[in-house]
Amino acid sequence: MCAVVFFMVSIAFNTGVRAASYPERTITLIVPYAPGGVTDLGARAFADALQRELKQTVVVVNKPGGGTTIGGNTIATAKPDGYTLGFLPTSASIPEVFTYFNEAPYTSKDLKPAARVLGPVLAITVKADSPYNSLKDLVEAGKKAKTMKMATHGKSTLGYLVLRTVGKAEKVNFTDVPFAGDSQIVPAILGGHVPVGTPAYPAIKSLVDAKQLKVLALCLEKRADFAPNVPTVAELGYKLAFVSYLGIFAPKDTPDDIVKKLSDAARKITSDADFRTKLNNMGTQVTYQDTAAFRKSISSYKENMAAFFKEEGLVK
Amino acid sequence: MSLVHDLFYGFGIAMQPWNLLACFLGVFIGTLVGVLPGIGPVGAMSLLLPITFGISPVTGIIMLAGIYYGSMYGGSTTSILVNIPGEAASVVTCLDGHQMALKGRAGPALGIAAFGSFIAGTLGLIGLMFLANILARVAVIFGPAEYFALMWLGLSLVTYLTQGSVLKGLTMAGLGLFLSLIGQDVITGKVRFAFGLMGLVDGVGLVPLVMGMFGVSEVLLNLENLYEKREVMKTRLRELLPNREDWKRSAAPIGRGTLIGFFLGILPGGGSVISSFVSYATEKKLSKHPEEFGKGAIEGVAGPESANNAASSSGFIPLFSLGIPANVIMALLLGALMIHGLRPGPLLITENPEVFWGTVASMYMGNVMLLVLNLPLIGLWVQILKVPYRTLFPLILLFCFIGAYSISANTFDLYIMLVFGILGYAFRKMGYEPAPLVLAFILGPMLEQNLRQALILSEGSMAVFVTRPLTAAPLLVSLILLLSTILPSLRRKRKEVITEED
Repeated sequence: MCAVVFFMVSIAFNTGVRAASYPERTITLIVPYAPGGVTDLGARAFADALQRELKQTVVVVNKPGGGTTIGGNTIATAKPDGYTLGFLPTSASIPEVFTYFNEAPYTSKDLKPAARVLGPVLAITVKADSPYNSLKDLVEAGKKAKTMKMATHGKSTLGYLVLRTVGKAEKVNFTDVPFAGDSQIVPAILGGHVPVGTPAYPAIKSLVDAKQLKVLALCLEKRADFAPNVPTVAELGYKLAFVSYLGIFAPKDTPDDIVKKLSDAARKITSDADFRTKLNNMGTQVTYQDTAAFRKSISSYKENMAAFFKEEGLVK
Repeated sequence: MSLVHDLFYGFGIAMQPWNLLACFLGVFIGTLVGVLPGIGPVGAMSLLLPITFGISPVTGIIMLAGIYYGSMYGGSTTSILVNIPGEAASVVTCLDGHQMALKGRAGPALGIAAFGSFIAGTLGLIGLMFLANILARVAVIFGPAEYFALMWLGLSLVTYLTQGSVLKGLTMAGLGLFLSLIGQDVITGKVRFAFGLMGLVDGVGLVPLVMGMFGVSEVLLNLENLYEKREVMKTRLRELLPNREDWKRSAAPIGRGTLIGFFLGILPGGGSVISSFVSYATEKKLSKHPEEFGKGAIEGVAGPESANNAASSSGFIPLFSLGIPANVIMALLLGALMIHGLRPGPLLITENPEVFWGTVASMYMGNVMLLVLNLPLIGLWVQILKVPYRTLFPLILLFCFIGAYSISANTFDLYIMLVFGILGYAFRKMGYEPAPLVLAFILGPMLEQNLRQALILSEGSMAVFVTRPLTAAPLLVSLILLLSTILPSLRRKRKEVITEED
């Protein structure tokens, strides 16, 4: 008994000391994607800034696999000392709502959100010579047709959710044609193989500028900094069950003052003009939320998504 | 004439001291990364990516591109010397390259790989300059149905990759297809055949599989005669460069390899690996002495090595003209350009001519540097063959482990590699060759996804595969190929059995 108390006190004392001087050694930032993608780049840009902010080396380690849950599980099972952090997307941070697709050995309860940092932006996109000039045109055409096919990243992703939500509200039968990534969705739209798709904005930015593709709406709640003229799905009257995010996560027992330090650092980084420009250049929205606000968003997204997947029959 | 003007402008940029240094550093790192088995260009490029944040975009891209095409040069070295591919694109080079080395002709094999790479890389660049915009439009004509037909054609080439029994080759291809099904199914999003193992959710990794099937199993095979003197290796290392006869036999394969690589490299997802297989099959089909293939035919090195380098040049076409990355490496370059606020895509050449022309010009220079760098190294590489097995093999294993681990920092991949090492050993002992398995494993996911996408789009109608010329033609060709190879080879097999009995 005595030993247990001593042990607990010593842990409490220890973490207290550590938090005050945190960070005193290299921080590892786990990215659950293979190197090269926009998410990986965003993480690297963030790590670069965090390194300068905390005056300590931040190393990015790519741990792809398991549909991002291998990286997530690394955080869930890491030592809660603030030296192993994760740059995690929705699928890795709330794996319990995706059990129809993949069962992970941990849940969101094993993670502690520190701050929301970025949001990948999906765009409802058609070919430049398509007859649809707005989401309304697309919906009207869809009402007349038997089905409207759409290229998505798959049933567990925001693009699928958005078009199904629109479809349910307007009685349009959107059928998804899943592709393995933007590099396949974009040629499929450009070549006229599918009438509409939901690629990530960075993948189509230059083709939109060159007037080869048109964006009907962005899958966001508020307008994007980098495309202020493009309407969002939310403002066109469709309620989004969730919005994709990328945030900093720590193991669940990480001391609160370390989490606070990280959250503050993230706030400074995300309000830095240079960082924002870099990320906007890539077509990624910078969306800071502190720990409390982020935690609230996550729990409401979790509920909404669970409800959506249940409606769609995508539950185990 | 404006093209010449643009190219000179590009050279003006590429010749700036910083850019010249970046180009050299890039191709130098690329060569190293290519030579080390399993350690691919992606890892090296992503490590160096943050450095490019701080320098001008042209300099950064020149360096990153250099790592990429540099690794394509180096990838064949270990294939030839120790039968372990340095890159997935060099798997086929093992088939004949290593056989050449066993016959004391490692020098000419390495030499023809270097020259072939140089010629194909340079010709590919010329194609990139002239045809970028036209070909980018061709690439998007390919929809799911067309891709399916093309992949099907690719798969029917497995019969050309087998040395022994066609049936055994097809068995391995079937196994490769099955292995490619493991992991998350793109269409439904559900995980298949993972048996609750997290490490299998995203499928079996190509690098651990290749490193196991080729690297580990090669070491195991050689352990059997560890204490035997390696007489073959010690015999004549007389020539270090290809002779006149070699050149005569390699000229046409280099030309064809370049064309095949160039066109397949444009298609997103096609790329260098498939083109090397296609080139090998083509050479074997066209050769006057197909029986030499698998026993050290120089055409089997010249063609595929040219193809994968031409593909690495033309892979830039969809990136520069449409902003579509054809593979992970192009995705990395895309990101590096975008983080600087550039827009790779139709407007890049007009808005940022310095990036396009500077990079293209640097690639001409990089190819020359690679040739100069690689030719003297041949002498050094060949010396590796004199290292005793007991020293060489632990080192090979070590590099295989590092390579397999470095892909995703996951120890599970090491188990995968070991399992395939043991399987590969058993397969090879029983006369089942690993190359058809690798080809089927690479094509499998694309074959399946495109088939299912095509059927969703056609609402279940199979007619899409026969009514369009771009789908019907490849399917018809593959049918003819299959029939023409399986029938005579079965007959020949029977004949061989009879003659052996005599």
